[in-house]
Amino acid sequence: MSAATATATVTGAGLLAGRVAFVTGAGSGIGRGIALALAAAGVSVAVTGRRRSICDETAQLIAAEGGSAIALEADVGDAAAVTRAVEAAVARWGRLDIMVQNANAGGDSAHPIALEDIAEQDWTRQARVAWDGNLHCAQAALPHLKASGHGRFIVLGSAFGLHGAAMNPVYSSLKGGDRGFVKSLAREWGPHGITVNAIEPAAATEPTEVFFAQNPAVRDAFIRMFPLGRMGVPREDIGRAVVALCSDLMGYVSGQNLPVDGGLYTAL
Amino acid sequence: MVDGVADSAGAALLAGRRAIVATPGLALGAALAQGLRRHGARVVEVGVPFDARGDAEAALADAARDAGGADLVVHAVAMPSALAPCSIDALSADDWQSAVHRGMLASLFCLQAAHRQQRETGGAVVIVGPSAALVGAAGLVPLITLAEAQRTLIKSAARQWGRHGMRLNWVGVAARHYAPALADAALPSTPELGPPPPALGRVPQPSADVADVIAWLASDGARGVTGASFNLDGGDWMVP
Repeated sequence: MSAATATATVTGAGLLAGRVAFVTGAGSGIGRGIALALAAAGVSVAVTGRRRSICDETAQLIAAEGGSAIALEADVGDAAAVTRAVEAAVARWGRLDIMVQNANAGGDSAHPIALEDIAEQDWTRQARVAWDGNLHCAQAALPHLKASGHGRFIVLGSAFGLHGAAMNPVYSSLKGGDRGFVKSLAREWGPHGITVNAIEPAAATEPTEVFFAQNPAVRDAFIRMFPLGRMGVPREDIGRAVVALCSDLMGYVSGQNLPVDGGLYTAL
Repeated sequence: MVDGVADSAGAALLAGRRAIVATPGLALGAALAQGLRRHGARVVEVGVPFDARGDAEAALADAARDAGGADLVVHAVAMPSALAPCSIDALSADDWQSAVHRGMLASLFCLQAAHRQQRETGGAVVIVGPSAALVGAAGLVPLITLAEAQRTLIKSAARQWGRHGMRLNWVGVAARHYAPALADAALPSTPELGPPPPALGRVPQPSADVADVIAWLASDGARGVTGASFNLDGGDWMVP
C-alpha cells in the first residue's frame, strides 16, 4: 500500500464525495473537527453556528485544504434561523445528505453545579440549544434527508448522558435525553431510509482544557480512566468516526449511541 | 399484617415508613399508592402540577407534614402533549415545549423538593418512567426524550446526594400505564404474528408488581442500590 493510499484510508478521502452536510456548532471544538473531517472525505459542508466569524475560520480552513464549505450564522434554538440556513445550503449545493447536531451552550459540560441550586433559567438556557436544536434541525432537514438516499442524522451526545455525571446534572440530563431522541427518531425515520445515531465523544476542547488547567489533579485522574491513555482529538478521533457513520459502510447502523471515547465507557 | 405484604421475616417492608406519591395528571399514581399501602406505608398522594419550584416544595412539605415524614418519594410526570403520538415533522413548538421542557422541569423541581425533605434524614426517591425509554418509540420522540433525561437526572442526583443518605432509582413500566393508547409503543406488531408477549406472558401491574419493587427499593434491603434502572416489562426487550 502506498503512503497516499494509506492516508486516504485513514481520512476517508473521497468516501463521501458529492454529499452535503450541515454541521451545527462548527465554529470551534468538536464541531470544527467534524466539519474538517467531513470535508476531507469529500463532503461539501455548511459550517453553522451563532458566531459567524469563527464559522468563517472553519470554512477557510476547509477551503485551504481544497474542500468546499460555506459559513452560515444560525442559532439552533431559533427554528426560523435553522430553516433559513438549511435552505441556503440546499440552494448552494442542491441537496442535503447529512445533518450533524453538535451545538451546545458553550462550556456547560465543564461547569459544576449542585442539583439543588439549579434554577429554571439554567435548564432553559442549555435546553434551548441542545433539545430545541435537535427538533429544529430534524424538522428542517427531513425533506432533504428523505430525498438523499443516504440520509444521516447524527447528534453529538456525551458520556455524561450515559453515566449521569455528577458535575453538571443539567448537561447530563440533556445528553441523556438526546439518547431517547435518537432511538425514537431512528424508529420513526427508518422507513424513509434515514439513519439516526448519536456519538458520545470524549475529546479535549477549549473549555475542557481551561477546566483542566485550573484543576490539574482532576486532569491526571481523568486521563488515567481512559484505556487508550489519552483524550480524543476532535478531527482525527471524533470527526473520522462521524465520517465512518455517514458512509455506506455503516449504512445499516441506526438508533445507536456510540461512545467514541478511547474505551472510557464500557457499561452498555 | 392483615392487609399488608410481609417479607420473609414476617414484617411489612414499609411498616412505619412515610411515602409521597407525586404523579400529577397520571392515573398511575393511585395504583402505586394502593400498592405501597399494602406494604404498610403511610401514603399521601400529590396531584398538583409542579409548574414552579415553589409548587413542588410546598406540595411535598404539606404531604410530609400530613404523612409525618417523607421516607419515600415516588414521582412520575408526562404532559398530555407527550402522550399523544405525533411524528416529529408534525410536532408544534408549543407541544414540544410542554412535553419535554415543562415535563423535565417538573421532575427537577420534584427532586429538589425531595432533597429538601430528605437531606437531613436520608430516604428513597423513585422516578417511574415508560419502559419504552430504553428502546425508543416512533411517534413518541418527546416522551422518550423526557424519560431518558429523567433517567439520567436520577443518576446525577444519586451521585450528588448519596452523601446525604439519599438513594434514587428509576423504574420503567409499560407505556400503557401512562395512556392506554400507547400499549404497543415500544413493540411494533409483526404483521404475521402480532406483538409477542413478554417472557412472563403478562404486563406487570402498577398496584402489584411495580409497587412491590418500589417498596423493596425503599426498604433497608436495597440500602446498597442507587442510580439504577429497573425495567419492569415482564421480560420484553431484556436490554443490556
